[in-house]
Amino acid sequence: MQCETVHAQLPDFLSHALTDAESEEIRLHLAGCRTCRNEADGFAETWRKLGSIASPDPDSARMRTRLTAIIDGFEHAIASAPAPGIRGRLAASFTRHSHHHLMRAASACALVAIGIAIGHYMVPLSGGSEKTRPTETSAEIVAMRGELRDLREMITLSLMQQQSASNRLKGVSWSGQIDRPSSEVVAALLDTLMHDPNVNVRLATIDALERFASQDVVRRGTIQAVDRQVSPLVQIALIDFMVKVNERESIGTLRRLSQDPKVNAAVRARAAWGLQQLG
Amino acid sequence: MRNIVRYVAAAGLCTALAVPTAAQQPQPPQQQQDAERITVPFSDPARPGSLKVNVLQGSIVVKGTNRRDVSIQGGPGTDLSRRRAADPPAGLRRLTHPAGFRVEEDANEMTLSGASFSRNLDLQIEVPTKTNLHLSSMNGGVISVEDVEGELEISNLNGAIVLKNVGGSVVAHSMNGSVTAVVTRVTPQAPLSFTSMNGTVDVTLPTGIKANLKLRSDQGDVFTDFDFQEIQGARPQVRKGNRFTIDVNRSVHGAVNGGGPDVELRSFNGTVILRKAK
Repeated sequence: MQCETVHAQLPDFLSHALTDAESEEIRLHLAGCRTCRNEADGFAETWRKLGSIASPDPDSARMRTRLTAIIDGFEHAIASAPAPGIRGRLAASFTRHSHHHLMRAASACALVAIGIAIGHYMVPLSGGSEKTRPTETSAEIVAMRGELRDLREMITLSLMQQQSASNRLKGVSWSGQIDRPSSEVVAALLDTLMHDPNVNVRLATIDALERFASQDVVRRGTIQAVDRQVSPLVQIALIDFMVKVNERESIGTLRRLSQDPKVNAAVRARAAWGLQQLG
Repeated sequence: MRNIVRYVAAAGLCTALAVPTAAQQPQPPQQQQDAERITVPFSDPARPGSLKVNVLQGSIVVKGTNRRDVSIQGGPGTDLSRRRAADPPAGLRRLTHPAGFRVEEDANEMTLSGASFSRNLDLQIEVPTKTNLHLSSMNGGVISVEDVEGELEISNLNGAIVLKNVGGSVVAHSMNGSVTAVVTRVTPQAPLSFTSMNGTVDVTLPTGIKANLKLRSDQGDVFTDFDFQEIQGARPQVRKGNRFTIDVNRSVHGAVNGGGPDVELRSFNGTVILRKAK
C-alpha cells in the first residue's frame, strides 16, 4: 500500500469508518512505515482532543424569554390596532417605492409604536376605574405626545428618502410640524439640500431649515451648499437665507460669488446685495 | 420577476430601404418621413406605470389616452434653425439613422432616452391616463403634458413647461422658460410646486383646493383671484440683542379653504399668477 493512499484514508481509519479489511491493511502499513505512523499518532492525538471539547449547552431559559418577548410584541401590535385600513395604507405607501429593507423595518417599528401608543391610551378606559387620576393621565399624554413625535419624525425621514419628488417634498414640509425635532431630521434636511436632484425639493428645504438657523451645523451647511448648487434659483434662495439669519461667516463666500464671472449674473447681483446687507 | 424589454428603434433605416422609389414621388414632410413609432407595453397594465424621459435636445409632448400601453413617436425635430439633415444628392438615398432613442421597461417603470447627444429629438408620446411621469429636457423644446393623472415631475432647462388638464401631484421647474399649468384634480395631502428662474409661472387650481400657499416673485408681481388669508407670523422676526428686524420680503404665505399641504409658486424674474378654475 502506498503512503499517499494511507494518508488519504487516515481520517476514516481513525473514526472507524473503514471496512475491516481496509483497516487491517492500514494497520499493516503503519507497522512497517515510521513516517506514516508518526502522522497517524499526531492525527489520533488531535482527534482525541477534539472529542474532549465540551459542546456549549443552549441557554434555553434566556432563549425562551427572548422568543416570548417577540411573540408578545407581535400579538400586542395586532390586538391593539383598531384601524387596519390606516395601517395597511401606511405600510403600502412605504413599501411601494422603497427598495430598502431598512425602510420596511422602519415601517414595522412605526406600526409597533402606533400599537403601543394606542395601548397606552386604551388601558385607562377599558380598566373601568371610575376615578380618573389626572397626574397619571397627563403623564400618559406627555408620553403619547413623545411617541407621536417619534413616529412623525420617522415618517418624515423615510419620506425624504423616497424616489418620487412629490413624496420628498411632503417629507420636507412634514419636518415643519415636528416640535423640537432631533438632530437626525436636521441632518436629513441638510443632506437633501446638498444632494436632492430636484430643484423644487431643494428650495423647499431652505424654507424648512429656517427654523434651525440658530444651529451652527445649519449655518455651516448652507454656506457649503451655495458653492455646490447648479441652480441659480437655489443659490439666490440660499443668499437670502444667509442675509435673513445675519450670517456673517458667509461674507467670504458671498464676495467670491459676486466676483466670479462664471456665476449667473442674477446670482452675482444678489451676492453683492447680500454683502451690502451684512457688511 | 425581472422582465426587461429593450427596444432600439431603427425604423428610419427600414423606411429608407423599403421605399427606394420615393425619390420620384413627391417628398412627404421631413418630420413624417423620419418619424419612428413604436408601442411598448407595461409589465403590469393593471397598475399605474411610470415613464421617465430624458432628452438633451428636443421637445416632449405627452398625451393621456384610453390605452394600456405606451406609444412613442420620435423624429429628428421640426426646429429648422438647428442642424438639419441635408437633402440627399440627386438619385441617392440616405442610409444613416435619424435621431434614435432607446426604451427600457422594468417592473412597470419605463425609461426613454435619446441615443444621440448632438441631434435634436422631438418625442410625441401617448400614455394611459393614469401614469406617473418624470420628464426632463435640456435644450430647445417645450415639454407639454395633457390629460394625465399621476405623480408628475418635470424639469426643463431652456424651454417652457405646459400642463393641461392634469391631476395628481405636480413638481415642475423651468430654468429659462415659463411654467403654465391647469391642474383639475389634486391628490389629497400632496404638495405641489411650480418654479421658474426667468419665466412666468401661471397656475390654475381647483376652486375647492385646501392648501397653504407660498407665492413669491423676486422681481415681478404676484396675482391671484383666490380668497386668500395671509398667515400672520409668516414673516420671520429676528431679534439680536436690542436689534429687532422684521423681514418684509417678497413672498406671500396664506391659506385657502382652511389650509392643507404646501403649494409653492415661485419665479425670480417673472410674474406669478394663481388662478381659480372656471
